[in-house]
Amino acid sequence: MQLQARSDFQVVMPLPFAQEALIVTPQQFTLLPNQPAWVLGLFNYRNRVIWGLDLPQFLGLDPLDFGLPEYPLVVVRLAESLRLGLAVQRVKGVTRIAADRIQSLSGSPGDVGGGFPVSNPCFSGQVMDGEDPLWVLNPNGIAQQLEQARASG
Amino acid sequence: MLSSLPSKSSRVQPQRKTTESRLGQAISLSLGLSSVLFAISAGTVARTYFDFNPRISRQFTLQRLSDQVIYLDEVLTMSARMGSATGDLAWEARYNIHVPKLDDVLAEIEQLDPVSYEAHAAQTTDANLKLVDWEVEAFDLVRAGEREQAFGLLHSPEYEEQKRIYAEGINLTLEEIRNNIQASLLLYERELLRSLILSGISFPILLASWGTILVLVRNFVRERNETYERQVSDTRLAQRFADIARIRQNQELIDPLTDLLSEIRQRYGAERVAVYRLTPPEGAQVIAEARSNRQASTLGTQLSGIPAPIQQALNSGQIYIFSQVPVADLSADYIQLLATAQLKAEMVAPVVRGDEPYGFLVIGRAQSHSWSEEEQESLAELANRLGQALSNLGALEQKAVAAQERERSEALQQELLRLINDVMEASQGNLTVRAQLTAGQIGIVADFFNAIIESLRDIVTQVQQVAGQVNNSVGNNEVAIRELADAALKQATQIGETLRSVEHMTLSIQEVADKAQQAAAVSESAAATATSSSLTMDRTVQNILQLRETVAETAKKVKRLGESSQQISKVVSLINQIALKTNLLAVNASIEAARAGEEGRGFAVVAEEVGALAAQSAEATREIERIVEGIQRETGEVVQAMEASTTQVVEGTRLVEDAKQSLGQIVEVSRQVNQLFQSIARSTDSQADASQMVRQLMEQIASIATHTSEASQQVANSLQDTVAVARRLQTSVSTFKVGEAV
Repeated sequence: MQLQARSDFQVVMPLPFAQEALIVTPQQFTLLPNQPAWVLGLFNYRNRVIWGLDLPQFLGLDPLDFGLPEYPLVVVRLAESLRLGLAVQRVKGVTRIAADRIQSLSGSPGDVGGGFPVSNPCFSGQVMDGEDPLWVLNPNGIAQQLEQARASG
Repeated sequence: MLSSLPSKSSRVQPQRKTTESRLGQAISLSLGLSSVLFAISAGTVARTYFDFNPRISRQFTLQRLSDQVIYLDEVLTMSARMGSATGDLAWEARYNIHVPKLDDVLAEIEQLDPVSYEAHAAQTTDANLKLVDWEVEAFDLVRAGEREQAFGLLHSPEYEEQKRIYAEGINLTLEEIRNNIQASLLLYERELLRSLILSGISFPILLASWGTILVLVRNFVRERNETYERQVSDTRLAQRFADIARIRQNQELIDPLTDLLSEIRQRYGAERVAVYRLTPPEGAQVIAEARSNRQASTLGTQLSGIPAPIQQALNSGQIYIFSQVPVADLSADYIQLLATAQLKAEMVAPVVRGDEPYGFLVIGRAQSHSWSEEEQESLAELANRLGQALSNLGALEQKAVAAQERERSEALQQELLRLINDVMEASQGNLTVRAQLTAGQIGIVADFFNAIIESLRDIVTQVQQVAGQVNNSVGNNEVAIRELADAALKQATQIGETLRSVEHMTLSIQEVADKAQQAAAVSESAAATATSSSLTMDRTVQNILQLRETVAETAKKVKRLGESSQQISKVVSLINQIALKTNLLAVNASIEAARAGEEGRGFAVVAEEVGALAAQSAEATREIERIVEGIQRETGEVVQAMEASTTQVVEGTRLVEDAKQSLGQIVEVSRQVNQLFQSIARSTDSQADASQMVRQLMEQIASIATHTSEASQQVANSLQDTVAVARRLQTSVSTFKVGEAV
């Protein structure tokens, strides 16, 4: 599954983790105090209350433009009971990528969006699609990062 | 009202004196009374004062002495008792010292107040003697050494009884003295009260007397001042009268008379004083007056008649007075005069010079005033004195008149002789003689004569001059006439030349007329051309306007096109959203397919196809958006261009309008030019006619010039005759002698 987090930063994630792609409006979120800036709030997804995250901000990039009337959000299922809504700029579509095309992160990208630490657990690798790199999200890494944030918060 | 002159002041005077003498008596009486009262009260006070002092001092002395008696008595008793008690002989010595002192004091009291002392003396003296005997006896016993007996003696009841009697007597004496003092004080008080009452009575009497005296003194001083002023004024009046009496001529009378009147006005406190002089037969004139600044002058006013009451006063020599203006008897012009001078009351006294009435003296006041007897009397006297003062002048005047009469007749005869002498030569044609001018009637005759001779002389002189001038001017004219004849000939020849020039002129005028006709034709054709080009211009303008409308229409359509493209872009964005959602659906379908596992694989492929389609449609909509944007931009540019061209078309229209107007003006101007040329042509035609007329007139002038030369010859001849006549006139006039050559 290919997602465009920002105009110049595209990520992909394995399809089995994805639950559904939605269009949401900012009014659907219930804001909560004392949370990190990348937490958008709680929202009702098919009679369940789940967290909504600003994915680019969570990854350490500039936050999304919330002046827009609506934006797409991908619901991911990290564990049996842990579901998250990841807000992005655009949902590109579904792409099939051979497993051997995924390069490990040993070769650091260096020049993208202010740079990520190589050891960032959110990413499991990157795929070169022509000139632009596609970053492969690691849902388990995201869960781990969330745990850390919760522990520290 | 007329009043008689006799004085009444003699009756007034004694009455006043009686009052004054009664007042004097009252004053002296009150003064006497108050003096008596004052003397009484002063006597009382003095007596009281002189009596009071020694008596009081005596009473005080008595008081003091009584005290001493008590003291000394006590000392004696105590000395005796102490002597008997102690047996000490020093007490006896002390006793012996004080005995004479007591005696002295008692003697003094007896001397000062024998009556009081005598009243109780027997009792006191008796007791005293007994006491002294006992005490002496007691001292004897002490000296004998029997102190107890002496002590017993001195403390025995008898001794005590005598001592009480003695003390009582002394006390009574003292009481008596005190009573005396009281009585005398009461007496003094009564006396003082009496004198106070007397003073109280005499004070108001004194006050009244002094007040009356003060008033009298002030009256006296005022009267004395008035008398003094009256005397000064009398002196001045006498001076004025003397001034008037000294006068020798009527003209000098006015100033001193006015001074006199001012003096009188001041004396009476009147607003106006005037002297009217009778002017025969029955009028009067104000010849002098003195008035206050508020009064208008009436100096020189002429009365046409004398009012009846005043006339009556003049006849009877009495004074006429009125105290309020509306008096029925007065004449209208006199009342008018009063109104002018603003007077309400007047007093009129006749002034008689010698035996005949001279006029009247009038005193007037601005307010109503009742004239007192005194005022009337003194006015009568003043009028009388004025008459006397004036009588001198009257006598002098008569004498002077007789002398003048004589002198005048002599002078008249002499002047007549002189006049005849002067005038004699005039009968022989000598007009230079003059009669001597003198002041009398003959002077007037001489003046007339001189005037006649003068005008005669002027006439003769003028005749001589004119004759001379006629001679001269005729001589001059002869030459001038000859010149005139020559000039007429020259004129005839010149007129011929002029005729030729006029013919030339006629020809050239004809030429000018032809040229003007040609120019008119040219300007007409120019006007026609301008008119036709103006029509063309109109068509052009219409074309431009049509073009403008077309352009505006096009611009509207282009704008509508822009609006349609905007609607397209709306539809495109809708399609875009649909594509987006389709894509999402495709993604979700893929997710579901993945979850289904192997069975969903075919579905996943379909889903991917749908996603690809959505992506394509999104791409297509973006393409459409770009195209629509291009269309909008271009239509915007077209609209701008259209607007610019519309502006240019408007500008062009305006320019064409201007050009059309200019053409119109050109047409107008060329039309005017044409008219002008035509009028020029007409004028030159009439000029040609006129020059023909001029030629004919010139010919007539030439014949007239010939006539003129002949006529001038005739004039020259007749002038010769005139000269001869003028010569004859000159000789006949020269017989008159007119003095210096003219």
